[in-house]
Amino acid sequence: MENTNKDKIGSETLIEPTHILSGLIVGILFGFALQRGRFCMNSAFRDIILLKEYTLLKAVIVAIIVSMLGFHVMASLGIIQLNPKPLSWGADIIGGFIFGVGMVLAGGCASGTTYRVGEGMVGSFVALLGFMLSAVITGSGALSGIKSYLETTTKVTVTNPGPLVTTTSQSPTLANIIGVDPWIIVIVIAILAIGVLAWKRGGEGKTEGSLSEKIFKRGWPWWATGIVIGIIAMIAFPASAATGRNYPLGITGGWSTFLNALIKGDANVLSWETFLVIGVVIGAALAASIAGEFKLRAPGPGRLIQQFIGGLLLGIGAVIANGCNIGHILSGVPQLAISSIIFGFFVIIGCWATAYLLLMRR
Amino acid sequence: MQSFPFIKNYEFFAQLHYVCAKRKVKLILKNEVNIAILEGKGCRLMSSEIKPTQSLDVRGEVCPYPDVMTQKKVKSMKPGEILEVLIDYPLSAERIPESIKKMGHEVLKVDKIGSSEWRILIKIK
Repeated sequence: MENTNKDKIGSETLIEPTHILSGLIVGILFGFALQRGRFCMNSAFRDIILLKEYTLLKAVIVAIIVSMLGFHVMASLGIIQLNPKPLSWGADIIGGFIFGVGMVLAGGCASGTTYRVGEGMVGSFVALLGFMLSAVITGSGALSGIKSYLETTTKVTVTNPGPLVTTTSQSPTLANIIGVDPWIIVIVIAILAIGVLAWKRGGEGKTEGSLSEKIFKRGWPWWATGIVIGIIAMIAFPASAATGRNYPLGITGGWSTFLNALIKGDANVLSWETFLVIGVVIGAALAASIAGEFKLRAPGPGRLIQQFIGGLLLGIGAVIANGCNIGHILSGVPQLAISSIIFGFFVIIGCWATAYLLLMRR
Repeated sequence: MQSFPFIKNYEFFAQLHYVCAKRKVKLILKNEVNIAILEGKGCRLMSSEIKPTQSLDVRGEVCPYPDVMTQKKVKSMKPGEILEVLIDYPLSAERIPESIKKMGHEVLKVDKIGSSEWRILIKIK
């Protein structure tokens, strides 16, 4: 099977009941953890400049480090084969920037928007509709020409993907462009990140309450959120690979296959990722209800339109770049993919520029 | 005769319900002197309620508007005033108290008033 990067629409294998269950279960766990941890990369990046707050950023870093170590251990044990996304720098730069802008307007990244639908936030639901729509339009509709143009004209490949990576991969990684064993890069990054986190760990106040209260009624501390999400990512990789989609967590492909299946009336289009994202909404709704944090609510009309436009941009950016904040930043950076690192960098630029213009002047 | 050390923080805009010599007395206290006199006369505090100077309702708003609007409002108010913020966004319920304290103000209380609804009381310093 030639195409194993699965943020594209369509699945070569027919979806089986065990695949549906697997996607749903991982999705429910993921959605539960996202809601409990208030895990949103939009907030994580934006609050660096807006509120000088680093708590969510620390959670993101922990999740990435745990995933990175976990994926490489599993690959060394032969449980999985790494599958970093291909590099088309033009698509990653432009898609990343558009995604970053969209995140701020939508009030959340792709995963943030998805889990907030489960909390009852109608504004995020509207953003999600925009996201689905533009994802399909950019993937296979009126805007698909832009995507293919950028992908083909700025594509960069390597001939030897290196150890631990699936042999058909041509994607540049931090390891294979230098020509070293990936574990060297992994260890260096892990040491640096753990060093920074330990130095900047900040004083978490002592909270009272039983363990059950802390898990189900209150927000999780950043280190717990990061670890749990990293573990869920580790579960996702082999679970998804068993269905023919050789990649860990993702969001964009899930929603675009969902809409495509509905439009075409074709269940063959559904993938493990489709059921993952449906599970995220369910898991977040569960977590919110238990914690007394579910409430159907909407902002005013101007804000709804803003979030819809944000959602449109999220979809365009994610499909041009072949991945969103989860597909690239949470799943791709731990695999040392250059495309994901470039994407992540420009997401932050787009996010900061928009946050500054929209929220920090006046 | 009992003393209530925490009352000393509620200098302005506080309504305290006292029982003095078996009569219910409702007072709007303007300074600490009144409290000292009351306590000297053997009055007992029944309940207290803080009346905010201003109220900011950002329920329904999407992240980060609850935080940004709260900060703007706080910056526009005078020391001693009390701001009540109503939000329904869980992350902001945890984050606003932290950022307000960093700005040097006092967070009097954070109450959950409903499903995904919080009331934060801030005293401007």
